[in-house]
Amino acid sequence: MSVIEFRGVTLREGAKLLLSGFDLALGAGERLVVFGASGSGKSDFLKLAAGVASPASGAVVLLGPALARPAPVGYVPNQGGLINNLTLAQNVALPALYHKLLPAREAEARSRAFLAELGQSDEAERRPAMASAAARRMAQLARALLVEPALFVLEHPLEDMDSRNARLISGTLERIRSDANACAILGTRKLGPYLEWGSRFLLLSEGGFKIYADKAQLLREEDQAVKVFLQ
Amino acid sequence: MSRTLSSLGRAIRRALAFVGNIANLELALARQVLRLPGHNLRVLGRVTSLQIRFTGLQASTLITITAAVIGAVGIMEFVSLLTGLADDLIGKLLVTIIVREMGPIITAVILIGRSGTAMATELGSMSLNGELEALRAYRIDPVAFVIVPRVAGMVLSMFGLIVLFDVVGLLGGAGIAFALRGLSFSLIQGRVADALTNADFAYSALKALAFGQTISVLSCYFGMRVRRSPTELPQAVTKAVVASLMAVVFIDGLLAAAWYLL
Repeated sequence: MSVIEFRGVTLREGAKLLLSGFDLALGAGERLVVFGASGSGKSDFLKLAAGVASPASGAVVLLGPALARPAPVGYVPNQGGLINNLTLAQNVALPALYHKLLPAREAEARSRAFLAELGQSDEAERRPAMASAAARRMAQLARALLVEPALFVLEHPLEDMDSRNARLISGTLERIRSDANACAILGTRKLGPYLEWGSRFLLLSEGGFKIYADKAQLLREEDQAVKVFLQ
Repeated sequence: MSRTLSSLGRAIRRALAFVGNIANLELALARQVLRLPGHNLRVLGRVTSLQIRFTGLQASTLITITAAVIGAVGIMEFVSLLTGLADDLIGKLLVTIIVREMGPIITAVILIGRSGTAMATELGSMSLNGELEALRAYRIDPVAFVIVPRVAGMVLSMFGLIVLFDVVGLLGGAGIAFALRGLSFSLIQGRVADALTNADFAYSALKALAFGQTISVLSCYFGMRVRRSPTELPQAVTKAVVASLMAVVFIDGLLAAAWYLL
């Protein structure tokens, strides 16, 4: 059963056409890796998937189990996205508290536990502006994990991370991969780290797109413009 | 001629769109207020208390100083202008100037400059920082989580600060009346108590509600319209201040007219 469907989606940024006539359905256990050059529309596509932007035409629909959840999407943007007058731990617990998914004490305890798991115990009581970039990224991931969403939407999760933090984030991505009920969409400029992780791949370029059914099809691609992302 | 008409048409369209947007925001706000029992009040309470701390408590020194000076100067001017004024009118004068008019309007102007600007800047920054987007992604209604607590904080703070202004302003006025005309504090206290009616308290409370609600909604509205660049922030703040000042003056005029007509 589908978790999310893109139905005849047209996406524009101002006058620029980013995507046209796009149809795709993703089910539980599927992981779509969206790649393309800067300005190709990856971030806008992820915002569509997260439900924070609307297409110029067509529709993006959450279906099945996603509909039943008060917070169906775990959104991890590349930058920002944390409430600045709350600490990282409070940010992580916020959606679970707001939707009453957990009792207050449990939400706060689990929020700290997730941050500790991601190596950020020392940063938990800091506000986002005072925390490191890695701590902010981990808080975003922890917030998404805590609501147990039907759909994860992740933007460049490994970008600008040192090897220790990259390892911790990779561990989280593996956790998402091993969850048969979770669907995920991940945007990136570098395919390498996600070749094994992704189950389908979507290239965005100059108003066009191409969907690859699996890694093997992607590796058979002869187009130099695509091979660049594999290097 | 046609150019003039077309720019007039554009201005009218913009004004109507603005009124429509504010009406929509007010409706969304009312819906969320009615849904309050279903919300997590612990989460909203935390944001409201932050707003009260910033808008109410941190502004109290400024309000105290302003009220003392305005109370004293206002009464000094009136007393010197109306040299033949009967002493028993001093209570009515203090209540009319301080409680009914100066207290609410000056508190509103101070809060527009101090908290309305901060609110518009904060919401603009939240929008630029992707905070509002993240809230929407997690199905947290920004009207419930961001605007309701700020409106509640602003209205409660406005009410508290108007009461503070009234008390300090009356004391300042009484001090001047004592100094210039030798009226004792107990006499002035009696005159003020005689002049104050329940209607004065209700009128003040109504102004606190109307001004606090209007300033916070307009400041949030212009802040949330910031979309792409930090250069939009000062424009949003300016628009919030101008619109809030115009709205407060307009509402004050309407309420004053209603007070004297009813």
